[in-house]
Amino acid sequence: MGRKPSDVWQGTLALMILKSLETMGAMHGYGVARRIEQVSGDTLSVNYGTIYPALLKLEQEGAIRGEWGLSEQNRRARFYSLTRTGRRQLEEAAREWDRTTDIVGRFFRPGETS
Amino acid sequence: MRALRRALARLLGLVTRRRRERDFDEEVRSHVEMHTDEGIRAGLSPEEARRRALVMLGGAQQTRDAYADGLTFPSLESVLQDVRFAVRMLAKAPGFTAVAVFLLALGIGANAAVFSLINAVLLRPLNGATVGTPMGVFVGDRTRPDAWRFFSYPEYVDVRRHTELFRAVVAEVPAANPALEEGGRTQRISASVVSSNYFSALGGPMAAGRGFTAAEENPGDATPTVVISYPFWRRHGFDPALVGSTLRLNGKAFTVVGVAPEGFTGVMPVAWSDVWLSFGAASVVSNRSTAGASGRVTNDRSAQSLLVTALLRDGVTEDAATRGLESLAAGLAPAASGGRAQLLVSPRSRTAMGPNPGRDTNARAGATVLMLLALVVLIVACLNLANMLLARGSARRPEIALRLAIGGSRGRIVRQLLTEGFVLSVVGGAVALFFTWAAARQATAMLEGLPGSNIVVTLTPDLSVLAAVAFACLVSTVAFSLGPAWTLSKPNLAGGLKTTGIRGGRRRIPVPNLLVGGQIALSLALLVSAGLFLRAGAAAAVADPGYTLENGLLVETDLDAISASPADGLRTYGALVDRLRALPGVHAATLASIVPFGEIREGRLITNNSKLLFTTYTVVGTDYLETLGLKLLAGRQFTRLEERSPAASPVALVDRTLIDRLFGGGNPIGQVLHLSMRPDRADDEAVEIVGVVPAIRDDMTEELNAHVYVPFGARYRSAMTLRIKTDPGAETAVTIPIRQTIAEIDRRVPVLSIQTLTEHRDASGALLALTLISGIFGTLGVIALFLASVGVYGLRAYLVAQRTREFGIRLALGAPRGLMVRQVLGEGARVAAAGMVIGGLLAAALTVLLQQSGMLLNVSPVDPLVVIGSPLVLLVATGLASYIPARRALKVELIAALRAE
Repeated sequence: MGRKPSDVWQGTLALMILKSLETMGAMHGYGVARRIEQVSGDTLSVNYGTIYPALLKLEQEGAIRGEWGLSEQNRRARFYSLTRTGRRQLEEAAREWDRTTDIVGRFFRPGETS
Repeated sequence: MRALRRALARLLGLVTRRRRERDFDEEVRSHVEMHTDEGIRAGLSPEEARRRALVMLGGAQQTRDAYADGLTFPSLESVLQDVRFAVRMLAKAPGFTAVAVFLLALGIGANAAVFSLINAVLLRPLNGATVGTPMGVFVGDRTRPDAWRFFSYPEYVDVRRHTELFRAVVAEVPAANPALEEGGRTQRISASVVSSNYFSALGGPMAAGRGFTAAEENPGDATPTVVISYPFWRRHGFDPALVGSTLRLNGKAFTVVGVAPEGFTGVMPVAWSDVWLSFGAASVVSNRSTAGASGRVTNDRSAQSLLVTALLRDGVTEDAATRGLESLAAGLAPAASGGRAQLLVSPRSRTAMGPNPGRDTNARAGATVLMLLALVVLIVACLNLANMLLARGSARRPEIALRLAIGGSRGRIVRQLLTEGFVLSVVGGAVALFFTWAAARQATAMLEGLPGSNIVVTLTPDLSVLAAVAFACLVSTVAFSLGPAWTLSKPNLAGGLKTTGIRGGRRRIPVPNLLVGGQIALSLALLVSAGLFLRAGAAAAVADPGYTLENGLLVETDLDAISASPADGLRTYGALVDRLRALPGVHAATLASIVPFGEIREGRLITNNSKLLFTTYTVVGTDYLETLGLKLLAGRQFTRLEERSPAASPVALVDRTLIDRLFGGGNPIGQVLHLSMRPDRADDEAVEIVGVVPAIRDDMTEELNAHVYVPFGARYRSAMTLRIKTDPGAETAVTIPIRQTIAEIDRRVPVLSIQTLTEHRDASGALLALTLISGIFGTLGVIALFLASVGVYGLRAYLVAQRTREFGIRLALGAPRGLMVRQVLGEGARVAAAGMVIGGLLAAALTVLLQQSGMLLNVSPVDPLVVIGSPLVLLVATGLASYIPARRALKVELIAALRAE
């Protein structure tokens, strides 16, 4: 099984949700959870439940918007989509992420520095 | 920005919470259904698919809780939960809770009580009204900043015209004491003579009847009307017929037209009048304090007797009002010194009525000291509780460690422990408030019951007292529980989860020892100051006034009650003292305008070689020294002629103090003294010194004053006190013949009071105040001592209990029990000694402060009884408190101790 969720999720879960919504368009919570699982190549196995507090937080911050709609199987579900704020936040976070991984990466590949 | 948005959304969540939670439930349901659908498509049985979906979702309730937490503020949400948990935890340890609440109630109660008193005297709005703070208007001399005088009626009317500055301007002649005849008895009551708008401006609607009319204010309008106070009405059983009935004041009939509102005290919060009279009727009341100055209200600009108080219009500041009166001030007659007059708008003293602006500096300083000491008591109580919480915390370490281990955050645990502290504080505060309220009722009832007292202290808790108590609760919560909460929540998982084992060797616990040391230090400081005050009170009670009080009798009377003219009065008093002097059992008798230990003092200023000396001024008859049991030092006493005749040449007796201060000990006989009533007047009367008498004190709580005595004949006063020296042991026996004698001279002459000199002193206001203050200090000191002892006991007992096992092992290895007791005691003694040294320094600093405030007369700051006694009491108390637990170490049972875990 995967790792303890909190190790990976903290901070990055929000990012993954935003990225998923950007790529796939409006999605319901279950879809987001499945998508993250698939993208991670099934290395992350999580409680889908942890998605919901993260979604709520993003919604409260104005990054995403939730609306009731019908799923492909005609099930009532809450669909989330990115807002303009969310898109900006995602771009910012992506830049930040690149920079961080870049810096951390240099430590692991010391030869490439200077 | 994002955080702000989130906060707003959460705020909204407070209201929409219910709906959002329903939404969420539905969202989760659809999630599970979709997941199940997918499982079924993958070939699972519906049951299995559903089971897997639920497993993947994680704990449904956790998810729901996590979501709900995010919906709105966790603090708002979980505070109630914290409180519920705290109440459960406290209920589980009823002994601990009871002791903690008791300690807090003591600490907070002391603060609530002291604050109630300060609130009543210095802070409470006047007359319970919301009309804003009345400001004093003062008239003085621009060149002599300390020279203030009373207003004349026309000047008051001038000030009142400035309606652009003032909503209302009231005036009064303070503290007159007419004699009230009621049911065959005559007694002095307190009265003020006030302007017609006095009640409407300061007090709101009358309790019954009406206030004064504008016509009744006119000087010379002799309509005899009177307004009575609410307590006066209550003493008459709220008789509705009292309004419209007649009161006999100074022998004249007055119609009661109204009852002042409940709690109405006029411009000063601590004294009420029994009755109020209008300016028109002022001429019928004599006025002891301003006698000589005219107590009358007339249209004469030189007749100055009024105090003026104004309510400022909204937006008008004191400075603006003072500036607004400048043109008026310029038009006033120049002061006697030649300087220009000035008008000042400034707060009026809340504790004394006078023509000068006062900010109650002394009272405020005293209040600050009292409040500080009360806070110290609270701190001592908090230190105590902090120790108790630490000790209890050790027992709770496993619980806390467990919570940390399963992921509880430190902040959450600190919050939980603080909540527990706050719950304790609030309960303690509520208990304290209840007792303060009960005590206040008692005290107020007692004060109102004091005969002849017009002191009123409204102690019933109001909003500011509530606020003070709430503040004390908050402060104490932080003071006693933040430290322990922080210490206890230190993540020390392994150590905490293990059951308590043997503590290594002589493990020191510095923090609790520090707390106990601090308690001892603060208690010592409190005990010393309490001791000094108690000693000052006791010393004042027995201090030597310069003469003996034994066999002294005071008979108070007032010939205004029979409307005697000065000539009649002189004759009546003359006949009276003649008859009294001849009475068997009477050693000597004379007349005096002022008696010692009284609230009213008359003074004069003597200007001599640019030196300004304040002196007490007393009108007396012959034989004055005999009634005091004193011997003349030089010259002669007053003659019979000087006692009886207004025509005698102006002479005076002065006392030793005055000679020392004015003449440096040279021969004063034959010298002329120039006495003035106010600093702005150079010369009101000139008297020739004919004799020197020993120095005496008028009040035991004050410094020695200079004295001037002038003869009665030329200074007739209607209100005099007969001073009588009886033969030894005859004080009570002669009272009946004295009453008979007075009745034989003129049946209408009232005996307002008859009491021995000792009784009179014991009832004096200054002594009462000193007794009250030393009572408060004493109580605070005793509470602090008690708290410190409890603290010491608690800590020692806890340490001994913790080391039971260690003691057992050492016993088994052959250690003598005595050694262990000595160790426990020794450790306690070291802490106590350190605390005492610091406490000694604190006490010294405090003593200097108190000494400067002038509150400690008659007692040396290094009073041996206090300086040695206080530490000794503390030492015995703390010694005992650590000896009892130490003895337990002696009683440790070997086997039981080893099995103790």
